Amino acid sequence: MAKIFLKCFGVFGISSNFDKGLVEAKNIADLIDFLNECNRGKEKISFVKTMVYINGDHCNSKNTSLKDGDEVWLLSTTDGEPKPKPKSKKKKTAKAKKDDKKTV
Amino acid sequence: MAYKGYAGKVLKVDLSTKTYEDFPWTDEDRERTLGGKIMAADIFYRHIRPGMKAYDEDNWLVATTGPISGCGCPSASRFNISTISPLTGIITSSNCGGNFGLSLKKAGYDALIITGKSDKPVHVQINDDKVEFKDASELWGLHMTPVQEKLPPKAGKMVIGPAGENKVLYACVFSGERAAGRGGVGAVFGDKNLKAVTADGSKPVEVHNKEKLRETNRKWVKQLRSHPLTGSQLPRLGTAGLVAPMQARRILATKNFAQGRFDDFEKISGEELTKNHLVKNSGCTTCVIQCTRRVKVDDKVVKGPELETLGLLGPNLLNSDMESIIRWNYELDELGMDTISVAGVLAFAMELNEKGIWKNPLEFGKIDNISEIFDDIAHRRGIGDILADGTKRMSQRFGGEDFAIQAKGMELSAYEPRGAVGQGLGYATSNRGGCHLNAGYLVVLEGLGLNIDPYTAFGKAAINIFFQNFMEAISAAGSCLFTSYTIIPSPALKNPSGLFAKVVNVGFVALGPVIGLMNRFPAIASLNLPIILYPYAIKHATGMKMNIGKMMKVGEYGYNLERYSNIILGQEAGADILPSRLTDEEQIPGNKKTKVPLDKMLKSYYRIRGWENGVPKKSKLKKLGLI
Repeated sequence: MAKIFLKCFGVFGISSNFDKGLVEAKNIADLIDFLNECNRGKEKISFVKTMVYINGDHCNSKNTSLKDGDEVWLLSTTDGEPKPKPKSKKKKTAKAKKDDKKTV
Repeated sequence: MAYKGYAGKVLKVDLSTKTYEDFPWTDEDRERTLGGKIMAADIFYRHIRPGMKAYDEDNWLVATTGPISGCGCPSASRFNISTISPLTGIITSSNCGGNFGLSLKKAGYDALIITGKSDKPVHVQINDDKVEFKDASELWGLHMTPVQEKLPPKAGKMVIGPAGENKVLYACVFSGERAAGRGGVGAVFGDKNLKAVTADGSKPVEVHNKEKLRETNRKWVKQLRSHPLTGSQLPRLGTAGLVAPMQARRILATKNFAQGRFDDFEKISGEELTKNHLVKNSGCTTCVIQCTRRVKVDDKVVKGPELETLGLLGPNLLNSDMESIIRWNYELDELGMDTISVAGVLAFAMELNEKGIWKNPLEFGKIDNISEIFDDIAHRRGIGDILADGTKRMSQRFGGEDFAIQAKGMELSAYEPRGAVGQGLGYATSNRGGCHLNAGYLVVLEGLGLNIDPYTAFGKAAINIFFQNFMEAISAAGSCLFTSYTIIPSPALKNPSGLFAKVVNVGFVALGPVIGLMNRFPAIASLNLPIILYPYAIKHATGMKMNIGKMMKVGEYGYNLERYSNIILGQEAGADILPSRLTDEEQIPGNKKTKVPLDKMLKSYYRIRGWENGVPKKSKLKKLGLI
């Protein structure tokens, strides 16, 4: 496990319950698990939803190992709000589809 | 007039004779230009002569609106002021989110042309068909807020502050809290002794198809609210939210563009602004994005700094004090000066001092004397008189051209282009000078939204031209350019490290040649797409047939028109250049990719544009009907 300094930016940076501080993690995936734990009940983040930089260099993989003293920047547009489940959609009739097209 | 959406008339006012008349404008003119800055460029083109200068009596100020302004379209209340810039000597078109444009339309006019010079301070008051020339002696000298408080409260306004009165070359015009910031439009007002213009009226704007327009507007609002940039990032963080990604991508101009990263960037970030200084957000009239920050200065709630101001008065001066930037933003607004140009000038002066070239009291990281310097600039006192003339003139006087960060005489905005070379191409080719928006704003694709390869030259010329042209048309319609963010697919923004984003990032660049074809033959894009709502809004507001290809054609006409007008005014071939710091010095020493390969990109750019060394070829001008 490495002691690193994590900083969160973007909309995620102002909506997360954790925005910056010392964290123990072995890799980026660990950090993301940590953040999701901190933000229970909110929209989860994943590696694909972020841009991650380690010591200023872009990180391509969530399995990238961390070492003591690393500084990690995590940028994300995830807004932290839990998303409502989509309502089941009734299939539109051909007439309804045609009417939709007419309005634009 | 066959088209709706327009007010229908253009007003021309002569400050020398204190008279006014209608200026002819036909449906054919509307089809060719749409409105806004392209309309202004077209009006100018018929009037300019070789050698015409900013302070000539017959230099016009042309304020124009767009056809979808005042029609209920979201984020579409912007207006434009064009004139010959005293800073650059060429056309500047300065866009503004204040309410003057909407009020001008209500008074019955799509545009206002101001010519002549008043012999004493004047306030032009437009009320429906009545125009009055009021004595503005008591307004002269007032700052932006007090002068607007003395004007009719319900009227839309254009005013200048002390900087415009003293012809600071980058003085701006304000409408409410919004600025027509760039190019020194305020100085031309000042030269004409024009302190204020107000407009008010009672004429409604008729639209072509009310029901369809309402439905389009409803979809547009939904689109803007659900998009990650316009519906989340901009309202919650403002443009200041770009500081962190700029830092990450090495695009944050630092120490007069010597570097692309700033160690203390968090202290001046959007996150810091939101968490510790934001009172609430706000926006231009009719805007659903609401990107403006409202903050406190001396217990007053005022408009807060945008990204450009934060970046250029922050890292670019090696300043990490947010409170100072918030205060300076307010002071500069009150004095009526372009924050981008002021900051560029200060950074250049600091470097001249550091290098021992010009001894002056400005130092990187030193902030205790800045407010005083702003006041000196606005009143052209002491060194303020030198700083008021801009970076280019300072470099001609003292030297240091290689680090005078300007293009065509106008200071660059906060994006360090060695971290986003397409943006560098845009800066160099922008008609009005170092403007990120007139440049095509490619940096949004090169790391601030999408993440296309920021260092490759491949495809950048074509993509730049596409966005330059299309954004001209969007602006001409009256829309805020931020609405164009919705063209970027949401999944790529929400999942920037996902497969879809990677495919889009690679594909965008790979499609460069196809985009190049579309630029040369806009008819290819004669279609509509449900995600691009401008053509629908224009069609339902005006009755004008419209599609993406037509918008590109109008935009291409406008971009070439401004360029050719600049050539008539004296811009020479080979003017599309950047200071050698950006083209010859590596941002990361040893990494050859980290400088702008401008010459390479310009070859493709000119080929696609049909220009030669920055001058439109005769064949191009004939094709566009300009000769």
